[in-house]
Amino acid sequence: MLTVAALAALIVFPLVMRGIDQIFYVSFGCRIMIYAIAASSLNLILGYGGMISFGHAAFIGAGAYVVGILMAEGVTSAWVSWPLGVAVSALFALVIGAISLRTRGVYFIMITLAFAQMMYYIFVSMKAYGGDDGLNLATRSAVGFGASLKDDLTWYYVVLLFLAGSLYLLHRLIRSRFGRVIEAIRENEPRMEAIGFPTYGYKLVCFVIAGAMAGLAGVLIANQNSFVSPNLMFWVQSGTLMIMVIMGGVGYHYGGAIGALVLLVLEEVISSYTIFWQLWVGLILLAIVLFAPQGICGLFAPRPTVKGH
Amino acid sequence: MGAALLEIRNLEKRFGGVVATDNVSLAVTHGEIHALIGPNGAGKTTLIAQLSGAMRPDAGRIAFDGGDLTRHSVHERVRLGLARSYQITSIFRRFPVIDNIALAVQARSGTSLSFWRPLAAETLLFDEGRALLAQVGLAGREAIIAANLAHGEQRQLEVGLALATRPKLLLLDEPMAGLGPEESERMIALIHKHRGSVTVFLVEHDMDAVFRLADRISVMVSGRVIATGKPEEIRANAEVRRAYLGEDASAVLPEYEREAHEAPLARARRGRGSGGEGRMSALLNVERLDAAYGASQVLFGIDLAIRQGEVATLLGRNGMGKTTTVRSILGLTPARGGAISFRSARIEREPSDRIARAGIALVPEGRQIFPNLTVRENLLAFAGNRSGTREPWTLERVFLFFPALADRTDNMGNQLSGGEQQMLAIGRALMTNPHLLILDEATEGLAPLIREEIWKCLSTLKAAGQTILVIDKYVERLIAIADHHTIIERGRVAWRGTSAELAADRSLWHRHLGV
Repeated sequence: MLTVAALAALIVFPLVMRGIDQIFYVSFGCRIMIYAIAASSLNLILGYGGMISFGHAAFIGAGAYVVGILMAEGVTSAWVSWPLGVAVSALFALVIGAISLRTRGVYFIMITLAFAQMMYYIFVSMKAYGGDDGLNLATRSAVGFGASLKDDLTWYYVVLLFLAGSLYLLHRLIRSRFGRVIEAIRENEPRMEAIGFPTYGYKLVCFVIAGAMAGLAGVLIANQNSFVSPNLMFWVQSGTLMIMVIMGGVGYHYGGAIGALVLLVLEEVISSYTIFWQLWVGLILLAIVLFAPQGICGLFAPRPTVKGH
Repeated sequence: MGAALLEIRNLEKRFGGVVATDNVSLAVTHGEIHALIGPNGAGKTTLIAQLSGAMRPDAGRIAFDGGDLTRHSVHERVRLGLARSYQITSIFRRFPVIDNIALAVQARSGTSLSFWRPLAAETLLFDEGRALLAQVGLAGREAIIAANLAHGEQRQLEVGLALATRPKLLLLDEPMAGLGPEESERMIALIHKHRGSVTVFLVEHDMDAVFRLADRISVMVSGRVIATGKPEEIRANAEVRRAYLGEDASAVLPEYEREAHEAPLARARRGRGSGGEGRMSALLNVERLDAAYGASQVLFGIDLAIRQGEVATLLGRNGMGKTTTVRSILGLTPARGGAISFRSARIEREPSDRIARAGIALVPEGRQIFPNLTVRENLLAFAGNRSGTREPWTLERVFLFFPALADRTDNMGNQLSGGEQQMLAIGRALMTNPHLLILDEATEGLAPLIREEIWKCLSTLKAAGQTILVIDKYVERLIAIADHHTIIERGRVAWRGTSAELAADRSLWHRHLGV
């Protein structure tokens, strides 16, 4: 019910904004939705899988750079660059995950962070594609069929379609056999081994799915900004995604999306009043962690209480 | 004797200079219940870890069901039919009971790389799960969150998870751990029910259970198997008795039993009466204590008074509120109502660090040794003369008291055996020189010989004038040591009296303790 209402609101939103001549907010809405996809993908591994990855921005960067580099080389078709962007991100996730998932706890956090920073510095040093300054995209990807993504409304609905699709995928995934395995590994990995699940393989598959979804967000963000830069994979970006997930609700279906919405809106609103907006956002995050440790979603659907440790 | 299902050949595992598994060879026959007993630190847990695949042996082979699985991973062994349960309950605590068991069914029925179809639609998994739950005595408990099950039920689920993998061989690592007498009976019945249909390798300290269940018993001491045989052979084996069963062979040897009963009775008769009287001079006075976890109240008006120099006990079945009472005294679980005074000062609103510094020390359930500190550091980190005694406990005195610890001064907490950890936990509490020492299940999971040492050490402490509050399930031993007893049932005081009174009225044991 709430889902239908939210979807309806998202469909009507740009029409209303255009009506009152506030087209800027349509673009802002796109940005929120793209980050909602990215944060949701992180929530899949962090919230459901218990894999605290501090390098998730690497996959966003990979997807974005595939679009950017292809466009610089003259390939503008979305039908080529987008699937390729997602596939390359998935491949990165496969390699990074295969190595990182052999570690646990703090080591996993550090090694994912290290991989992301490594990619950041590789792209900083790639002078052919802008290096530190990034890469300007001449246009948005071409989709054919007489449609143009340069039209704000078309672009908005494309992004909305991908967000809805990603969230639906997440919904199905979590309720499937695979989703149950992932959540159970988070709960008690040694026991999962002891009842016969090869946990490493399942975690790796989950990591790759999340990487691919982050790659999709990267593909979209490149088009949204018409610009890609190494900053997309800087560790602060990974941290921001984590904050979104924690704010929204770790392991809640809409946790990533709500977190992205709240954080970006807060940023927008508070920064229009003061240049010290980060201080206020920090205080609000602190309040959420203290008073709603399960995040915003947890306020509305608290998990059953469990006694003991 | 039939063919061997599991054959361990010359298995060896070393940690640095310590040989944990020393050339162990052992065969478990199809269909038998084979028990492995031995003192704490004998290497039983290390052996189980190597059998289940969690640990790689340095040398030797493990043959199972016609194949070699020395190099197989944990999940591969499970698929081949070798499943384990854990000594420390390892379930999916936040999942409902039915989801726990359905996962184990899912593991062996088809691929779980299925991303789209809802799991809830797979009624077969859940139907089989329900049937399995009924088998382990958890019918009707399907919807409960696993962590909220009673301890005994969690242990049943623990074994149920292993059974649900349909093993040929079931490794049970101390299934009786932490169970009260009735719960133990249920667990014994559960294992007995599967006799023949599944081969069982049982590691256990509860000798009653071992001698009732086992077809054959192997005894492990210092990493070696010193004997394997039928229960009566093991019972009669002099070496085994010296190394493991010790004087507490009462559970095993009927002739010892009388003696064990008589001694405490005689002592108790000599013991002085103390009960409700003399509340005013009590060191600790708990009055009408209420406590709750979230919405569910666990303690209803608990009264308890302990005077200087006394040894008091809290008795009762599992889950009746003993540990919660102790937690409330220590300020770990806030009191919802009532009063707690310690040395004439009210403490029920004090934070737990202040209460501890006022001179109450806890030897917690599960020992809670700091694994990353050495024995010396564990002892020194919290040392202090909190009661201001003239003869305070020092490192030297603790080492004199527990010579076993003196040899392991520089070992890390996690390199100690269960018995050594328990001694360290007591030593750590003594180093604070408390007015009141509280022991919560201090003999849990200890071999009979080590358990006796703990009892002896309590007697010595009492003779030295230490005030002690004990929670334990060995009523006979407690009668011998303690002055008075409080039985808690469903969060209320069901009975209170002296050792002599408790020793005289066996019906109390039956009614409240399930003995």
